[in-house]
Amino acid sequence: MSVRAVLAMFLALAAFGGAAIYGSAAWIVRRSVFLDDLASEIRRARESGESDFAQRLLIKGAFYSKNPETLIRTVSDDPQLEAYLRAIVALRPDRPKGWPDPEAELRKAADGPSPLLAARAAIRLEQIRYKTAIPNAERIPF
Amino acid sequence: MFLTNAGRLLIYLSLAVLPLANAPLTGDTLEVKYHLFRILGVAASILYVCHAVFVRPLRDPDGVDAAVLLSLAALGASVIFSESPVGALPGAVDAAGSLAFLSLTRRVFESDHPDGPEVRPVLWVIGASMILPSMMFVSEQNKWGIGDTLGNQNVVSHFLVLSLFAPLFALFAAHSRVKKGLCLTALAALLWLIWLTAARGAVVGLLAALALIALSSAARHWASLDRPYRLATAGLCAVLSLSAPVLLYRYATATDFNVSVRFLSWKYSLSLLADRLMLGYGPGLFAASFEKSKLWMTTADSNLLGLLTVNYAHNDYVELLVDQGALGLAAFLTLIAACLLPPIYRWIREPARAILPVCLFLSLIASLTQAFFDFPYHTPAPRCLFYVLLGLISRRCGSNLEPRTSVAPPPPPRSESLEWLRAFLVLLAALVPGVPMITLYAASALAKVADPTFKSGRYTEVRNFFSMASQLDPTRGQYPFRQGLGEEQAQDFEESRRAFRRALEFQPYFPNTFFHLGTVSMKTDPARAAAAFYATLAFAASPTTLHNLAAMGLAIGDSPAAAAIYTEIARRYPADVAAAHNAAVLKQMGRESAESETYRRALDLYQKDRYDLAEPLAIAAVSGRPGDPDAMFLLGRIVFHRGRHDEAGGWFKKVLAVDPNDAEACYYLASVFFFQNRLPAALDMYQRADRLQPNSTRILFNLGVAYYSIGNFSAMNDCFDSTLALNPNVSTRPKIEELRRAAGGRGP
Repeated sequence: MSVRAVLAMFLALAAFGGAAIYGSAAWIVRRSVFLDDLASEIRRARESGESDFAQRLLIKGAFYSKNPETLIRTVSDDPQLEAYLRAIVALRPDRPKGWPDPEAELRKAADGPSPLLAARAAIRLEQIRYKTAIPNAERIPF
Repeated sequence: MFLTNAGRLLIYLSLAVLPLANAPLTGDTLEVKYHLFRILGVAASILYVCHAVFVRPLRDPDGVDAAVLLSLAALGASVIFSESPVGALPGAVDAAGSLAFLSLTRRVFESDHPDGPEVRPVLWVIGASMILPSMMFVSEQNKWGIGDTLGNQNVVSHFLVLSLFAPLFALFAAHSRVKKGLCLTALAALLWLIWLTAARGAVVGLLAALALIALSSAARHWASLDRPYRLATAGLCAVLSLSAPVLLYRYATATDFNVSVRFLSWKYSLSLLADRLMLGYGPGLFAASFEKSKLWMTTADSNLLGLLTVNYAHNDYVELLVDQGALGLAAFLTLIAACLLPPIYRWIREPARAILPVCLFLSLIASLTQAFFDFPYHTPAPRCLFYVLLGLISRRCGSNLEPRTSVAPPPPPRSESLEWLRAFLVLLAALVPGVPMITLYAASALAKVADPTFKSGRYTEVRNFFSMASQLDPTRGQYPFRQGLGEEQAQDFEESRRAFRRALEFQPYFPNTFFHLGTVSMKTDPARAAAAFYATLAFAASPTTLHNLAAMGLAIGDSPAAAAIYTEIARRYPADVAAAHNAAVLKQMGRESAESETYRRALDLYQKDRYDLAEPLAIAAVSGRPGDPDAMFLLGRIVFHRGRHDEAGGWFKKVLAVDPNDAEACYYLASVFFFQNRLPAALDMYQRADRLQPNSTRILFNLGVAYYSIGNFSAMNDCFDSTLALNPNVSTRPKIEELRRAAGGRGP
C-alpha cells in the first residue's frame, strides 16, 4: 500500500469511526441515566423517606442529562438544592451555553440551611479556587 | 550483517522466553512477562534505530512504515494528553515496543522470496515455545497437580492460535509423506488444544480465517475451474462465510453469564469515549479508566458487573479505543490493513509464490477475530508473536529491496561464527538500557512481600515497604494507595491523606481511594469526610460508606439527612437491623423536635395574646402529639379566650382525664362551667382546684365570686379574706370590695 493510501485510510477511519463512536458513547451515557427512570426512582426515594438518595439521583441526572432544567424545576421549592444543581450543571464538561458561573451558585448553596449539602458546596468552592479539596471533584457528580 | 543477526537473535529470544517466563518471587506470571517484554521492546527499538542508521536508511517508506509512524504519533499524543501521563508510561513502552518488534522483523527478515529460508528458524522457535505452555495447560486441565498460571487458558489459546501458521506452513512445504503426516498430526494436536481451552473467539476466528482463505482461493482459481467445481467452490465459500457469523450469533444469544458480562463491559467501555474521544485515557490505563463508567452505570448492570473485576475489556479493539482513542484505533486498523492487504493481493496475482503469507494470514485473521472477544494483544507473549508475524507477512520482498548505497569500500569478509559472536554482543548491549526496568519488578516483589505484613498489623513496616515501592516504580497508583492504608492504620492521617491524593493522580476514578480520603478526615473534618463519601457513593453504594456518611451528617448537625441515609441503608440491606433502628430513632427525634418547636411557637403567641395566630399552631401541636396534656391545655385556653367555652371545656376535660390532679385545668374547667351558668359544677371544680393548689389568690378570688353567685356570702367573705391575707394589694381588690358592697356592705 502506498503512503498516500494509508494516510487516506487513517483519516477516513478516524473521522467516520470517531463520529460513530462518539454518537454511540453519548447515547449509552444518556440511556444509562434515563430521565424518566430517574424521575420515578427519585419519586420513590422521596416517598420512602430516602431524601438523601433522591438528592444524589438528582445530582447524577443534572450532571449527565440532556435536559437538566427539567430536573432542576422539580426542586424549585428548595432554593439551596436548586442552586447546587445549577452549579453541578455549570461544572459539566459540556456546559450548556449561557449557563451561569458555578461559583455564585455554590456560594448560595454553601449558605443554605441543610448542613450536608452546604458542606459539599463549600468543598466544591474550595476545589474550584485552590484545587485542594477532593482530586477530580469536577468530574464526579456528587 | 551482525546488526541483522542481532535483530534476528532478539526475535528468537523473545519468542522463546516470553511464553515460558515464570515469576520466581511474586508468583504473578503475567507481571514478570510484562517487565520482560518491556526490556525486550526497548532492545528491539534500539536495534531498529541502529539498523536504520548503519545498515539501510529508511529512504522510501512504504504504507506499513507510514502506519507505524501514525501509530507512534497517536500513542505519543495519547500519553501527553492523558489524565495521568506518568501512569501511562508503562503502557506506552509496551505499545512502542510492539511496533519496534514489527519494524525490526520487517528489516531483519527481508528476502527475495516470500517463503524465504531465513524465516524457518522462527518457525522452529515458535514450535518449541508453545510446547511447555501447552503441556502445563493440559496438566492443569486434567488436574495432574502441576497447576501454574503458565498454563493460563486465555494466554495459551491466544498464543496457540497465532502459532497455527507454523505446522500449516510445514505441511504445505513438506515433500515426503512422513513429514506431511507428522505436520498434520501436529496441526491436529494444536487444534484440539485450542478446542480444549474453550476459546470461542478462537473457533470463530478460525472459521472466519478459513472463509477468507477459501474466498481468496476461489478468486485465484475461478477462471481455471469447470462449471461443477465452480458451483462446489461457491457452495463451500458460502458455508464457510456464514458459519462464523452463525456461531457468533449462537454465542451472543446464549444465556451465558460470560457472554453477557462481555457485552456489558464493551458497552460501558465504549461509553467512556463520550469524554475523551480522540486520544483516549492513556495507554495501559483501561482498568483505571473503566471505574469511571460506574458513575453512570445502571444498578442492574452494576450488580452484574460487580461480580467481575474488569481489568480487560475482553475486546482488544475496544480496549485500544479507551486507551488511545479513535486516533489510536484508526492507526492500528490502518496498520493491519497496510500489513495484510498487499500480501493477499500478491498471493491472488502470483499463485506460485507465497505459501507462508497465506498461512500467516490464516493465523493473523483468526487472532484478529479472537481479539473481538479477548485480549491477546494485551498479554506479552501473544502480543510479541502477533507483531512479529505482522512484520513477517509485511516484510519487503523482491523488487522492494534496496541495498544500502555507501561510498565506503565493502568490508573484508569475516567468518560466520565471528559474525554471530558480534551479533550476540550487540544484542547484550541493546538489552542493557532496558535493564533498569527491573526496578519495576522489584517494586511489585516488594508489594508482594508487604501483603502479609499488612495483614499481620505491622503498619509502620507496611508504610515503609510501599513508600520504597513508590520510589522504585513511580508509575503505579497502587503503591501510594497501599502506603496510605498503612499510614491510616498507623494513625498518621496527614501523611495518609497525601498518599491517597497521590494515588488519585494515577487512578482518578478509584472509589476506594475516595472512601479512604473520607475515613482519614472523619475525626478532624467531618464536612470534608462527608464530601469524600459522597464522591465514593457517586460510583457505587456500600453499607460502610453510607454508615460513615450518616455519622458525618450527625456530626455536622444534619440529623434529617442522617435519618434519610439510615432509611436507605435499611432498604438496601434489610439484614442491617442497626440502620433500621437508627432511622426510627432519628425520625422520632426529628418529629419530637419539630413538634416541640410548634408547641413553643404556639405558646409564645398565646402569651402575647395573639390567639388567632396561636390556634392553628396549637392544633398542629395537638395532632403531632395526640394525648399530650400540655398541648391540649394550651389549645383549650386559646379557644377559651376566643370565647368558644364549650369547645374549651372539652379540651380541659381531656386534660383532666390524663391528669386528674391538674389544678390549672380544674380552674379553667370551673371557669367554663361558670360561663355556662352551671354554678354548682363551677363551685365544685373551683373547690377541687383550691384543694390541689392551695393559697392561689386567683382560685380563691374566683371561688369567692362563685359563692357570691349562689348567695353564700359568708363563704364568699372567707375566700376574699384569704385572698387579701395572701396579697393585700392583689389586682382584684377593687372587684372584691365591689362585690362585698353588693353583698351587704361588710368591709374587710
